[in-house]
Amino acid sequence: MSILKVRDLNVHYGGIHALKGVSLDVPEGTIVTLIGANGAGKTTTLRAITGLARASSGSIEFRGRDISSVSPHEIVRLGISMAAEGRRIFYNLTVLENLMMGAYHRQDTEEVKKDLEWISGVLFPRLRERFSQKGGTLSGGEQQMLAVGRALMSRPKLLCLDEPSLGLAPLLVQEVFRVLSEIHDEGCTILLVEQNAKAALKIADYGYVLRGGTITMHGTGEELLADERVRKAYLGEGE
Amino acid sequence: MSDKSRKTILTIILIGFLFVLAWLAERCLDEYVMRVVRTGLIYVIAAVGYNLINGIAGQFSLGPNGFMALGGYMVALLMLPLDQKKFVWFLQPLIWPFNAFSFSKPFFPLAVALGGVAGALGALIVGIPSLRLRGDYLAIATFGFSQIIIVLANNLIPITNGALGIKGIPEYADIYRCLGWAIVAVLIISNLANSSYGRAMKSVRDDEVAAEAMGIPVFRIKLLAFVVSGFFAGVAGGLMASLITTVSPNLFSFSMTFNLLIIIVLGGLGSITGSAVTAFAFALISEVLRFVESPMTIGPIHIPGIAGMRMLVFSLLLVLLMIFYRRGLFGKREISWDWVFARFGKITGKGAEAWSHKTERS
Repeated sequence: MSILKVRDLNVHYGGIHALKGVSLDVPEGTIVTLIGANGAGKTTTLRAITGLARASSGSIEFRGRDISSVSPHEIVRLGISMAAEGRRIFYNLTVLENLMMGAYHRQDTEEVKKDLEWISGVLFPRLRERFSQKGGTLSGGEQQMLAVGRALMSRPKLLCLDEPSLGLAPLLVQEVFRVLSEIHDEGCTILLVEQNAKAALKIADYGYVLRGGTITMHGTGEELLADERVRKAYLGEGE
Repeated sequence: MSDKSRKTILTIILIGFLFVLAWLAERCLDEYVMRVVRTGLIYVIAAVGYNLINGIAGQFSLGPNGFMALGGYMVALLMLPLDQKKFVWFLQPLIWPFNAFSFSKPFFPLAVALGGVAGALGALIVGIPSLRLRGDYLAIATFGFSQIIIVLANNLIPITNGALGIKGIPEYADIYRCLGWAIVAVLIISNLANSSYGRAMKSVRDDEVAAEAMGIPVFRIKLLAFVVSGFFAGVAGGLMASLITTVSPNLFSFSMTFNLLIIIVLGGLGSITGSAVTAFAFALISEVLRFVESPMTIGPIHIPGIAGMRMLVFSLLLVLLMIFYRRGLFGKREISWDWVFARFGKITGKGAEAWSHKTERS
């Protein structure tokens, strides 16, 4: 069962045709990854799914409902949340306030507390130590953890992550991917956009390769990892 | 007793103390000084409201003088006695319904509240189109709208009596009413700022796109801040109309917004208590500085009185303050009970401990 179905999605930025008929499926309970070079349309795809960019044509169906013209804050309510590229945490709010903003629309206080406990206690213990610190004073890695934690606070059915490993030290990249598989084990569906194709394909059930605004290849993580063309173009391996 | 209820009781005691202080001041200080104090309190209301939209929600509005004008004219139209109304509108008659009634003294707070409603409605009408803009564009749009309100005040003679203004408004804005409204403004706005709405406003200020991606209805949150801010601008305008007893388009010119902007930047964008303290100080200092405009003889040099000298000294003070306190006097900090406990913690050791624990991390 696909939780998210994108069909023939086109997005224009002014005169630029950024996405040219992208179709993809995210089955429930899986990790699906989008890989591709800079400017291939990965971020645009995520922005269209979360409502931050408007589709000029095509459909985005989330749990059987078309969301291509729903406003971003309604989409969060429906169960999609995103940790955007470049972290985008709230610099002048404390770490705790940042996390609570993720649960802004939720009324179930008790459940929010449980999620806070899980995110700051189990997933990212580092955040717990820094609860009353301003978001802007965190290190890059901690900010990334906060961004992922904040996105999880809405208890999403689909978590979209845009380049979670960007600009992080190798050890922290490992940490982020460890946490992703932990979140996945809890039953959360993940749509992951990455430039670090190798790490992404390793944990992904299925992958799509974007190039110039269209999907040029798709297959299971292992298939793509083994594919000659993918290895050459995105994994940086020679003959 | 819980920490929260203890703070509530302390707040109530403080409010009582302020009213006692006002009672004493009215008996001991002369009429001139009391006028300055009342003006200061009115500035507090306007500045605290202005800080909500500019400092807390981070939307650079240049409109408060327009909303103050709406409140001022509203109170003038409601409070002016009927015979005075006939006397003032001698060129063109005042339109219905304002020519048919006028409020008596007990209804003055209602008139001020309606002045606030006028400001809030104005903000709603201005906000719906202009809050979709950001940064400089929003500033220009709100500036334009406030100018439109002033132009309307100059030309809608059947309502505003044009450039001649409205005179003879009863002076009901006494120290207690000004203080009462100032307390209401500070309490409502600080509670709002500390609620989940307030956090949403701050997150919109920090990163609008991220806030939107978090599920915050960004436009509605900005509009809420703008309308509440417009309400208190209207209240301040209404009290000012009654304090000065006349309103005219000149009273609410752009320099009013400019003064408020100075106050909130000086007090610290985002600090409510900061802008309250600064607003009061601003009114006092601009009166105290009047002496530099009077003729002076320093030794052999005789200086004739120079009008505007006050603003020169003021600007110099501002430049110095901005060099040494770049984020304003208070930054984003607040004078809260926690802060007081920490400062004077020897009396209540427990509060101080909790505070130092907190500040260590921030």
